[in-house]
Amino acid sequence: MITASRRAVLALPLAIPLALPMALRSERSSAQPAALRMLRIVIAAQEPLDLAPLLGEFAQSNQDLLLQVTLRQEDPAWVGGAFRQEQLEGGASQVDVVITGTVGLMLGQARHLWQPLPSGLLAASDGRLNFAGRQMRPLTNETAVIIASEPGGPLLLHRPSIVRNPPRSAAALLDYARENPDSFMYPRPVDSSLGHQFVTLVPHLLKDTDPTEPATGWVRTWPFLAELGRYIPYYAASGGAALEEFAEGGVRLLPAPLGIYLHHHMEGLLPPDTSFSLFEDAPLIAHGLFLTVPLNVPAERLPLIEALGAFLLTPDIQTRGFGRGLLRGDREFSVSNFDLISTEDRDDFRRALPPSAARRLTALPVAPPLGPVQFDAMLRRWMETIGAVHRPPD
Amino acid sequence: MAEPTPPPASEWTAFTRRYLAADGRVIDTANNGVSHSEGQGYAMFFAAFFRDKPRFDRLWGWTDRNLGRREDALFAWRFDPRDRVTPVADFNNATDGDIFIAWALLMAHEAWGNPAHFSAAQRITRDLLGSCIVQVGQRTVLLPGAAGFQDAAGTVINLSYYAFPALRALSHLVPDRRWALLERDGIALIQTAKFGRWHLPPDWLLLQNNSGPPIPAPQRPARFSWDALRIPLNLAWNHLDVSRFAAERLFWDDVVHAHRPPAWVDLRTDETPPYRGHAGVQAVHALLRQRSGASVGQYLRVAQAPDYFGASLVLQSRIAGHMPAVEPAPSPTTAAAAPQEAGFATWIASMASDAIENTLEWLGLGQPEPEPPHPTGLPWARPDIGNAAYVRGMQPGPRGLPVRR
Repeated sequence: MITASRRAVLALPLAIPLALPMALRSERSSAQPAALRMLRIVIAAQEPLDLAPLLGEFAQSNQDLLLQVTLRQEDPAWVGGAFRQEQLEGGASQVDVVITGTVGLMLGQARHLWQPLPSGLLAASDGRLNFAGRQMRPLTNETAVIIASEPGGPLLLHRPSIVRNPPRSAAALLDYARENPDSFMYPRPVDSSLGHQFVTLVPHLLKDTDPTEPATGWVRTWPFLAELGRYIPYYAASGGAALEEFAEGGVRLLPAPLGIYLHHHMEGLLPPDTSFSLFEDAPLIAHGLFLTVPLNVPAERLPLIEALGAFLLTPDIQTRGFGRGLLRGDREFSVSNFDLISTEDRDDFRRALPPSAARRLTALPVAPPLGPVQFDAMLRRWMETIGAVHRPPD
Repeated sequence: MAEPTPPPASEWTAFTRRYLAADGRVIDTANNGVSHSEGQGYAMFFAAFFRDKPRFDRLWGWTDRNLGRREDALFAWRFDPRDRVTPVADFNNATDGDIFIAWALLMAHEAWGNPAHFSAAQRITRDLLGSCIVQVGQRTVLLPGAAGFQDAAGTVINLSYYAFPALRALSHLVPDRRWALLERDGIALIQTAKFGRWHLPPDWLLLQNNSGPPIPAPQRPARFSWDALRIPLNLAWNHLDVSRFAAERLFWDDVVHAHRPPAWVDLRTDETPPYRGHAGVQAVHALLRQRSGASVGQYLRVAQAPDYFGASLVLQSRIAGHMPAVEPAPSPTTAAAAPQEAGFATWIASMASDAIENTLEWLGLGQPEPEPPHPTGLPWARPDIGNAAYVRGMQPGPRGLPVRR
């Protein structure tokens, strides 16, 4: 049996900061032209995924179809920047597959960069969706396969030795921020899943008129974010920067998705006593990892991409690549694949997510992230009315 | 006085956490999250200074991919992530950004020895020379961008784009007689362009075609503000004589200011705003005081700046105070041939003339040099050219910052 690494076992969107080009030369001949036997994959997720070994296995087992696989890591913002420019310019696509998180999916959808996927591939994914995945399914608009999903968050990270009574409501959070200026932060939502997940949660916390419509339904949310901003030291430019600030004690409270929390906790990137609290009477915002195909990719390449999608959805790859073995389907957090990891890792995992905490998580409802148009509207308004406001010079 | 010390790495960390997105884009937080070639160049320079190769590579990669122009090696000046269709709506360049990007690439090559960095710096520098360093009358000047700054009225320049230490460094990369002339004429213009009660240079200066003297560019606010603030920084960075930036010191030290130092001053009315200049203004002020031998107290920190521009000035001022002078450009006679003939004797005579002129100007007796007519009449390339603040993406006011306290 193959033993999964600690990173691979962790919840989905997280793992190793490496992107590896790899080439496989098939000894066997193929009827396909060489160009069609290359697969160029970009992972545009904030948290790098170590999919290289798994894709190597995919290539090895499909040597008739594949001559070469290349894998590149980009930030989600790449989807709306250089990638969008490349697509606009037309011509042959330089990318066959983009594996991305919620931000990348929405940025691409808002800019019409993804093509509709074959129904067979979508059906294969649909049969395996967990509760969070089913929440996000309508947002894919038939242009993405959900290859992993989790309840998301945000959790409110803190150290119980420093914050004994963490806030559990919007009002309590604002009170805490007022009483402890510069102790709470969230990163810029356009540049971080930590940031956009927190901002997306706020209208749910405030029972706003329509949490799914930032332009018209966030009548309480925008003033709340503006007021909260008065006590935030700065909006970190990335999720990584915010996590560093928290780890160094620069801030005491930080919202973060479950997967990021687990990854950083088990990797020793957070103070050992870091824990989390949950907001009461509010859902978790689902988080996912999606396989998408750029608009300019020709139909001849789709069989290869279908094969890749089917491979990524197999139970073994799900467990080893995306942690579904630990944070597996539906709303349970049962640990069904602990035999894949070492005793030490098992203990670490239990420290990061004790059974009692997992039960609390499962008791919460899960809401989908914003749709692409709404997501864009949220980012724009946040940048113009929240992110651009700063304290005047002392 | 204690010797100036370089900024600690924690200051670079503070900058990156606030303003550097994971993909290598520098976020202008005060301006709706847009990015500029200027900000990319500044951050690349900082990354090279702090020997942060991973971040340098990300910065350069993002800049090259997203702002690179097809027609040359220069860079589009602005990227707006809110525009889902055309985040780069105007492909005109901004020479202050190009200059810092080239300088940073040169520093990166010196640090890590990548020939690609060297050749990229060379290409940018050649295109700056080819497109943005021009002859206007008797002067060699730096255009703010390759297009859009010359029309029937004259040539609009921005004296704060003259990053003298960077220009000197680039002059050794692509030797040309124009570099020395550019520095000479730039400094002379700074000494000539004195307006208002405090004799300060404006953000934007019009070199008139009608033989009139240089004047604050009429299409923009006649202010010494967020742009011109960098003029004394560049002079001090170049280790020039204290007298070169005496006017700025006198302005910022003037006891009449209730909020010291003021963020800006209107050069026509001498009006100053009711708020104090942010940490970037204070950092430049402190650098001038330091160069004058005055006590400056504790160094300002990046965390004290309200936005990326202020934070950049804090870091630049700190580095400028510590960095040794860059070797001057090769003299016009020894450098490679330039389109305009200018012998060494002429150059010396011109320098002497400048010195006399500057002295007279300092005493309030000088007469601005008349400008010969200029033949070109290009349309403004930037739709927001009429507002100086917008040219670098800034809203009017204190760099567009809605005050929250």
